[in-house]
Amino acid sequence: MVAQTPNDALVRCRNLAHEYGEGEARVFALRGLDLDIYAGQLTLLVGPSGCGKTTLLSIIAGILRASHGDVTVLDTALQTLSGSEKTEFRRKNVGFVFQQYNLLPELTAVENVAVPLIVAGERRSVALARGRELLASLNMGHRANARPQKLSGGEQQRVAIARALVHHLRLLVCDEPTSALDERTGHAIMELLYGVAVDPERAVLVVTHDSRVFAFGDRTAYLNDGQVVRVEARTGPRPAIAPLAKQPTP
Amino acid sequence: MLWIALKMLVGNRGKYVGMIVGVSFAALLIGQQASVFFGIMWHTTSQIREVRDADIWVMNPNVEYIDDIKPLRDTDLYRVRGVEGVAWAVKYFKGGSRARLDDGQYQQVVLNGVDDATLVGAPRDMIIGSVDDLRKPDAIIIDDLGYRLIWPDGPFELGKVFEMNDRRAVIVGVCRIGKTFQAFPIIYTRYSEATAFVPVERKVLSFVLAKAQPGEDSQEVCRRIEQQCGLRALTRKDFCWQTMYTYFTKTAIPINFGITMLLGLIVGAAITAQTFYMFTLENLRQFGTLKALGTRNSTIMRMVVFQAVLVGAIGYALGIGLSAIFGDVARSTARLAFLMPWPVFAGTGAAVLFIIILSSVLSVRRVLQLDPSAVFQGF
Repeated sequence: MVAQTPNDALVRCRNLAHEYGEGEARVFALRGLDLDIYAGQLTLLVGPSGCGKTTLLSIIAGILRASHGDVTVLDTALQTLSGSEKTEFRRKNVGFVFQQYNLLPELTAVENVAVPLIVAGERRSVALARGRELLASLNMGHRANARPQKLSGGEQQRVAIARALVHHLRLLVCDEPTSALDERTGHAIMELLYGVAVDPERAVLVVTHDSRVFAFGDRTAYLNDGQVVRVEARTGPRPAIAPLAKQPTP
Repeated sequence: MLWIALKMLVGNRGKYVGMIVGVSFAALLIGQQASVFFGIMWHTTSQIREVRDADIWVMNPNVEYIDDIKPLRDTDLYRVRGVEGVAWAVKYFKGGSRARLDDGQYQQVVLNGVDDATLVGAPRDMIIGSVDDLRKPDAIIIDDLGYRLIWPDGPFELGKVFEMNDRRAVIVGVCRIGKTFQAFPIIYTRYSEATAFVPVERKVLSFVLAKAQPGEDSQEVCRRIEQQCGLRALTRKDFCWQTMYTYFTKTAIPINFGITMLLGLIVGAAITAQTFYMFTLENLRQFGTLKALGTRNSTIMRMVVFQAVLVGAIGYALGIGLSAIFGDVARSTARLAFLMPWPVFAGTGAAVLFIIILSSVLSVRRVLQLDPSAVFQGF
């Protein structure tokens, strides 16, 4: 792995702090945190419950405004963006994978995958065609017309990943993507995410406390009490996982 | 994005149907009650509309509606005839009498006395008999519903006899007229006969019916009659409006119907707004996900409004359609008042629009306040 400098980082967090509530009810979720996340890597955020992992993920994804500090994603200082500009930023740059998948239950798998493209203004027929191609590349082509409730947990998470990848977003944020899955399925999902992270233009950030997937982290940031207590980079070779076929940029 | 909104809406079948039922119920109740109200108002003018030959009604200045009889002097007829622009003018009697039937029972009736010479004001739509037979002694024509009220069974028969004011009345015809506000039989006879069917009074002329000369404006002729005779003169249309206005302002009818319509609106709005709000709450995870994925607030708002409008449109169509079916059935039932003019459609539409706006505002507010970061917190 080539040595990286902070200037190469796709995400830069500096002195990041966030608090919830006011007065005596105030809770400090992040306390002056620094972290860099690089493209072409899968970064794990690990730590005990309540240490600020999800808060950090939300700030980096542009859906939560940090109370203090700076966060720069793809050379954009998120704290300077208005609400609508953040919405625009997320639409163009950030893909989401949720613990509970968050698929729209009334839509089929392929329709769910097509949603980000439709949100971006793509025609439905084009979006569905692209969604179908992507599902096929994830060996989910045969389940394209199934509704989420007819899919297994692993299949739903694959659909969710497909939705996050469908228009070639640069940053993929994943919140506990394997915690609702059995070990074998969780491993398969991590392989899939790892295949995305092999792409040198993309960064994958995974919040997890599932120790079964720690081996997939190119870098692992350990959080405790709202601070990064240490960052470990992989010392050995990467697992031999084929990169995910790149989707055309819309 | 609207197709996603549509799928979200119809995907939750229970709530979707519940919301449509709520709007339909409100539209049905409002539409149906408004139509009955309009029907009753229309019925109050029935006897004015039945007089088709004359286009001007002249009356005592204090008369407010068709059944408000304040007699004129006989000489008023000649004064009206003398007004410029009046082609002709005739007497018209309207009053109540009591019929004594051959079995000794009594029946209150509405008595109309038409001009002896011309029979102006006589009914046009005869079921049996002829209007000209009114010229016979003691002759009367009765409306079909009144006939059935007195003699419920058997076919219509001419020659049946009853008494009014101790005078013999012979049925020479049965007519079909517009339904009236009162449920009494409507009797037509000649003016001279009518005045004999009621107790003697000094003044018995109820109205003067007049016709404007060709090319004369009826309104202008009315104005001249009022100016020269000191009487009240109204065109047929204005007298209809005046009668409806009086019933509207001086009876409890609008209040009673208004209360029912208001209840329909409140119950419909409550059911729909609450169900729609619950539907939105159930979909918060979906809306939150869409917001996280970069959907603008304006788009989310359009989705919610689209869902509300769709529910409103379907509910309105069903509700107003059911009202119309009710009306169709009601029309086949003799005395049930029902009329659906365009204000019923517009008013019901406005009520449904209010329900939609109320539902949308509550739900849109909740969705717009939704913090997309909640998607990571499991709602």
